[in-house]
Amino acid sequence: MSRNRLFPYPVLGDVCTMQVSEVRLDGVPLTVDMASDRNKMVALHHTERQGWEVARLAVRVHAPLSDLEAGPWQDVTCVAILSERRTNARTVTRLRREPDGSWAGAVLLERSRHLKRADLSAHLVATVEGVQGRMIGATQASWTVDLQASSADQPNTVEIVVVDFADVAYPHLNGYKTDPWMVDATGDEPTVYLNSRFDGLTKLLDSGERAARENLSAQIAADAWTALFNAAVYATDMSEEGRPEWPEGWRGSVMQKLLPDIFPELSPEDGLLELVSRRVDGEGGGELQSALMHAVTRQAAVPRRLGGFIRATNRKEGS
Amino acid sequence: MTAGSQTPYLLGLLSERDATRYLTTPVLQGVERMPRLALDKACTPLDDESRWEAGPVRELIDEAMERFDGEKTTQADAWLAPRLHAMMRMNRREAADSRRWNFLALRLAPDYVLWRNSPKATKRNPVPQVNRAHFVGPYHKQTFSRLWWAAELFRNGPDYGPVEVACGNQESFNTVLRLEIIYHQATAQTMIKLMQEGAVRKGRPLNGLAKAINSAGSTLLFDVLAPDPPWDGRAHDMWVKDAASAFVQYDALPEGPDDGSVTDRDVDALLPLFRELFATADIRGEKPAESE
Repeated sequence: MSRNRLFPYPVLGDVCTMQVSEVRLDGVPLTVDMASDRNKMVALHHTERQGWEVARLAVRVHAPLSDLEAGPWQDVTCVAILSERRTNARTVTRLRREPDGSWAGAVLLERSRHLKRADLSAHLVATVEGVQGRMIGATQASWTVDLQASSADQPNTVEIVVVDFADVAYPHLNGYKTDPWMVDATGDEPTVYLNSRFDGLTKLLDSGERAARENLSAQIAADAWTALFNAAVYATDMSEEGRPEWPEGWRGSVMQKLLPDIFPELSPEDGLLELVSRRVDGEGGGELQSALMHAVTRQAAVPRRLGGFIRATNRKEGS
Repeated sequence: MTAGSQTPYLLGLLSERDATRYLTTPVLQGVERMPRLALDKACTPLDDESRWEAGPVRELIDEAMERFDGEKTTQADAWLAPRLHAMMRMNRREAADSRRWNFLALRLAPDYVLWRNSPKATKRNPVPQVNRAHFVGPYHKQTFSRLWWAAELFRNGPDYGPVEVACGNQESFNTVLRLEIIYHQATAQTMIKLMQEGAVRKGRPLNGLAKAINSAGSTLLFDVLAPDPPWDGRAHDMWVKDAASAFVQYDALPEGPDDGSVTDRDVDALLPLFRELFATADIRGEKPAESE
C-alpha cells in the first residue's frame, strides 16, 4: 500500500497478474501457440479463419489477497480493458470474483472494431474514503492482442520484407534497384526492405559469418533508426499552448528512445521542445545530425542490434 | 467548382507514401493543382458498393462550400460531419485505414482542404500555405477523418444531435478527440450536456474541462459510475448494408446506427462530478473564479 502524488489515496499498485487461458475465434478454440504467457501476447491471424467476427479471450486476474484484505478498500471490483488507439476503440469488461479470490471472465474482441494490435490490461477499482470508482491496482504488464500475427511465440514487429527491388509490383522500390536495402518510414507501420537482387545480402544475413552478419545488421539498424527518427521529427507539432506534442504510434516511440542520447542533459519533454524549436528556427540542424548519429550508433550497437530496433519500435501505440 | 466528370466513380485508397510525393509546396500554397492523372495511377479503387460511390460525397462537399461560402469556414464542420459519417458507412476498422482519407483530400476534394484551411504564413514559410497534416495526417487533424471520427465518437447511437454541438467548438477536435476520455460514451455525452447548458460554450472552457476530466480519469474509472452499453455489431452492420437505400438529406439531420446509446441516467451519474471538475478547472486566459 502506498500513497503518492499521483494517487491522493492508498493504492495497491501495479501488482496484479493476468493470464489468458483460452482464445476462441467464432467459438472455435485456437491452438496453444496462439497465446504466450511469456510474451504476454495473443496472435489472432489464422489462415483458415480469415473472416472471423469475434474473438473471445478467457482471462483470469490474480491480486495479492492478503494485501488487498488488509487495505482500506471497499466494493473492490476488477475490470479488463481492451483498447486500440488506432481504431479509437475500447471495451471494458467487468470480471467476476471466483471462490479462490481471483477474478475471471470473457473479453470479447469484435474484429470490425480493431485493426492491428489491441492492448489488454486489468484494473482493480474500489470505493476509497467514500469516493466510488477509484483505481487502486492494475496488471504489472499488459497483454498485446495482435490481429495480424500468426504465432505468439515470435512477437512480430517492424516489417522486414525481402523483395527484388526491380519487381514491378513494388514501383516505389524500382528507383533504388542497385541499393542493398531501403527504409520506408511512411504510413502506419515502418518497413525495412531488403533487396534480394543484391548479391549475397540475404545469404549473409541468414547464414554468414557472425562478425560480418552482426556488422551488417548494425548498419541496417542504424539506417533504419535515422530514417525513422527524421520522419518522426516532421510529425511533431506544437499545441496551441506552445508545447510540442509527441507524435503518435511508432513515431513517438522512436523519439522517446533516441532523445535521451541526443540531448543527454535534458528530460525527454525538454528534448522534444528543443528539437521542435530548432526545426522551426532552422538552426542547429548540422549539430543535431551529429548528435543523432551518436544516438543511432549507440542504439545500433546494443547486443541484439536489429532485434533491439525491431522490439523498440513495436512499443504499444499511444504509450 | 462542381463535381463534373473529374470525379471518379468510386472512392479509393491512397498510401501516405504516394500522397506525400504529390504534396509539393506549390500545391500546399494553392498555386498549383494536384496532378490528377498521376494520382489516379497511385490510387486503388474500393469495391463496387454503393457506400463507396464518389459522386454523392463530392456533391455533399460542394454543398458545404456553397452553404458556408463567405462565412467562417469552421462553421461547415458541424454541418458536414454527421452527413459525411452517414454517407460513408463503415466500421472503425475500416475508418482506421488512413489511405481512405488521403484519397478524399488529394484526389476527391483538394479544393475543399484549401477552402476549409486557408493557407497561412509562418516565420519559416512567408508565402502562405496549408499545413500538410490537413491533407495527410493524424485522425484528429486530417480534414475529412477528423469529421468522420468526431461524428463516430460524439454521436449517441443513432442521434447525431450531439455531433452538431461538439463540432460547433473547434476545441472538440483540437483537444477532446485526442484524449482517451472520448472512448467512454457516457463521458462524451456528459460533456455535450455541459456544452448545451451554455457554461462550456467557447474553446478555452472546453479545453479546461476536457483536461480536468482527463486528469481525474487517471485515478477514477468513469465506466464504473456509468457503464457503457455493449456495442451492437449486428445493428451497425444493418445500418451499413442500408447504405444503398438511405438518402442523406441536406437539411434534416441523418440517422446513425442504433448500435448502443447512453441514457439520461448515465449522464446524470457523471454530471455532478463533471460540474465540480469544471468549477475548479484551470482555464487558459481566465483568472480563478475567486479573484474575479
